[in-house]
Amino acid sequence: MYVAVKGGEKAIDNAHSWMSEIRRGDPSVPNVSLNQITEQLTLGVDRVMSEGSLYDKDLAALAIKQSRGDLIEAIFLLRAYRTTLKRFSYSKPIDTANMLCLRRISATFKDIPGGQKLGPTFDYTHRLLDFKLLAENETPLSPTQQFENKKVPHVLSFLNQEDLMQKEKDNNLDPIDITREPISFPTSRAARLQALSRGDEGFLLGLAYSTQRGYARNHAFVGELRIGIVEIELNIPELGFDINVAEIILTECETVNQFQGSKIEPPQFTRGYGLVFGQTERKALAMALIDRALRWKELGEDYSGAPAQDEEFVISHCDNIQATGFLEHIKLPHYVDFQSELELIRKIRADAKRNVKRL
Amino acid sequence: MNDMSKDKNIDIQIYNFAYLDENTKRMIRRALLKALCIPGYQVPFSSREMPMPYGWGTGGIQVTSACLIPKDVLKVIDQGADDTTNAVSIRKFFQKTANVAVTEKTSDASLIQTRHRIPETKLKEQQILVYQVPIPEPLRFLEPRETETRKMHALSEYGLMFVKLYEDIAKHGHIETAYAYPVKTNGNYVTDPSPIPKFDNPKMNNNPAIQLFGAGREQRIYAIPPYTNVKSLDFEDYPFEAMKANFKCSICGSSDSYLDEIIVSDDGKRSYICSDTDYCKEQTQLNSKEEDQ
Amino acid sequence: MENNYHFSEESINSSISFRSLVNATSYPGRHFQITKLKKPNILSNAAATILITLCDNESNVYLSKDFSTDEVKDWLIFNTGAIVSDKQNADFAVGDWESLLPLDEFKTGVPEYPERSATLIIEESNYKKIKCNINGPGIKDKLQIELPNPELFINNSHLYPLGLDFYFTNDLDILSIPRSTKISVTNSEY
Repeated sequence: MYVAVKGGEKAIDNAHSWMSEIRRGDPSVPNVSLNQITEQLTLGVDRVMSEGSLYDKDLAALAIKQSRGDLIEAIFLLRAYRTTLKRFSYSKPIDTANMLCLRRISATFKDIPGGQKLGPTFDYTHRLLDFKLLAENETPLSPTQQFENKKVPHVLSFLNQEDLMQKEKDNNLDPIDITREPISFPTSRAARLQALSRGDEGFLLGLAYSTQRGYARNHAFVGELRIGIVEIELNIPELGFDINVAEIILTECETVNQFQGSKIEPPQFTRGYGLVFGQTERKALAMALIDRALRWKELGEDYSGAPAQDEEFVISHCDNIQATGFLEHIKLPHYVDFQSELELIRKIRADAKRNVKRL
Repeated sequence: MNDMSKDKNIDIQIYNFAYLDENTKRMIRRALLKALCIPGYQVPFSSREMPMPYGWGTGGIQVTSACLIPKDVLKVIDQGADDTTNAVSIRKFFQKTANVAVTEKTSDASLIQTRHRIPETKLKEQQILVYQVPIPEPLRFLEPRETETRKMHALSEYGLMFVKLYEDIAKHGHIETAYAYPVKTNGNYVTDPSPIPKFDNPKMNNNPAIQLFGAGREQRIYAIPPYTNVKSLDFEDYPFEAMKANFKCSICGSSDSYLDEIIVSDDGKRSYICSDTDYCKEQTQLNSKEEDQ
Repeated sequence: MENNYHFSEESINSSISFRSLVNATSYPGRHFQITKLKKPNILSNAAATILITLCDNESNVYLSKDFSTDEVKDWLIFNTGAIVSDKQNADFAVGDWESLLPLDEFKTGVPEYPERSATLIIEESNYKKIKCNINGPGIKDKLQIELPNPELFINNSHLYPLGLDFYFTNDLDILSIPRSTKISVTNSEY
């Protein structure tokens, strides 16, 4: 007689303890510390914070360590933690015009008030493996300069002056919070931007790239890309004034896109917008391109059937925690469904055989 | 860094009874009650990230979390079995976060969370059966757009589904759906029964227990109240037919329960055993009692 | 099993209250019991429990005239954060039968979203009770109950899947009539 295999519980425990051992790796190698991660794997930390929708470097670093460097797993850990947090209040909207810029570039004007500022970027590095980093005692220094504690105006505001740039209208509605309310389609731009800002970098990159290659082509100039520190302010009614509760780093991208005009709008430049936690410029750029592509309806443009124009397609599939969960769930047992398919296919084949014999 | 656990309250005690916070539960509870008032209709809810992945039953887990009470006796099954890895994991989660009693016995359970099966043992009044649902929209594979399928439900426009079923018959002489076989609930909404084998479909009809469905990733909750008419879609000349492997369980000998096919030797020899492990155990005990007498 | 958790009393109480609501909603026309809580005198324990279990700062609550007191409002806002609203926007409404009429000002949902409808909590009062037969989801065969103005419930069930959902509350007792319940009048005098 056959006895069904038991012991799921034991197998799970063993798998977990094996994984912990492997995560630690060779015990003769020093344990990686959280501040090593927050200080030296900054961009990984930033990605985890942005897609995890929680600005906390220490927790992001912990998640990266725990997930053995699997960033999507780390994002998941952060998201799951985030949902358990109590929500005290909503902050006031951030004003990115007040950003202290670490980096600020414009591809549309050679010179701009406040100047171009390259900042810490890979852009012009030669992608050669730097074997000097093999030595663990390097302490590179950059020339010091007084940090200019000065706000700089948004580049697109100069186009605004001539009315060449389409003005963004405030609809005076509170934006929905997509983490508290399910999105229903068609949805608002505010909801789309929230979803894109926490969306998967790889998915957004691929979609944005597709718009550049002609799937809903709309040539984007980078009007401005800025990375810097902004203040988060909270209005406390009991106090009667705003207090500064945090300073965070954000990446903001505003693209300038051609617009031929339509029945409802004169020819004008239009904006694609990206805003992401941390130094995450690939993501902010991609977000701006997709935001612009998704605005076709509002601007009276044609729908070319391109994936990047399809709001429901983009928003329903950009979340990597949803995507990876559903993709990976096919590893779970499906004995029962598979059995029902087996029965069905046998039945159909038997019927087909009988029919052939009859012929 | 050492004081981080204090700072962030990572301490295990921060969690509410059955994990979810009260605000989240309120939102889910409102959705659940509306779902019970409109049988088979998918109520959108703002699903939360759970500490297990989407696709692992987060919808069912959220529904269970919102419904659980301290004196519940919980049973969790996956593929009909209590000892499948994910069932073990979910059961452990609620033991830890709600400290509820657990059981493998269907008749002792007050709340049963399931993936892909309905227990063979008949359910009773006030028992709750929570289904984990991957794709709650029965029309999804015919029409991927939510905006369209929502309209179809609003207009009771289910022609597309019947055309699909009819084409199957025309092509194969059978309806090509062996699991997640669509049903009509209370004569109104076409509903996805979750990926249970169609063998289980008739159990949904007029069941005294409360059937709740949670789809976490897709952010939908729906319900089939007790004593509700649930009809598997079919045609007069091609009536619905429940189906199972035509064998007896090689453990308990039952011929009326749903069977899993297992490969027992390297040359591919097959054997069949009950998918419902509790039912199988019960039948085995009954048999040995009879032998004793 | 070892338990490191100290569950909050609030979370335990709300879970037990909600289970009564699940049972009441699942088995329309049957009486279910709710436990006592601290609440304004005018509200029954059952009505107060429904509000406290389901409402939060996203819920619009209509309080009909006798119930629209400062005491009730303060209690509601303090315990749930709910918004006191007019009839048209109400997600929940509380009152005695007469004061909630006419029903047609309450939202009954839209075909795409039938759940965007009001839930009415009807406190026990001296309304004229008429014997009715009910059947439908949650009811084994049929049940006999007493309802005020059955024609209004019949009209409501004709809106299905749109419509209003009702809870009748009386001290610790709760009974539901969701929109899916079909009503017929048995009494010949009516």
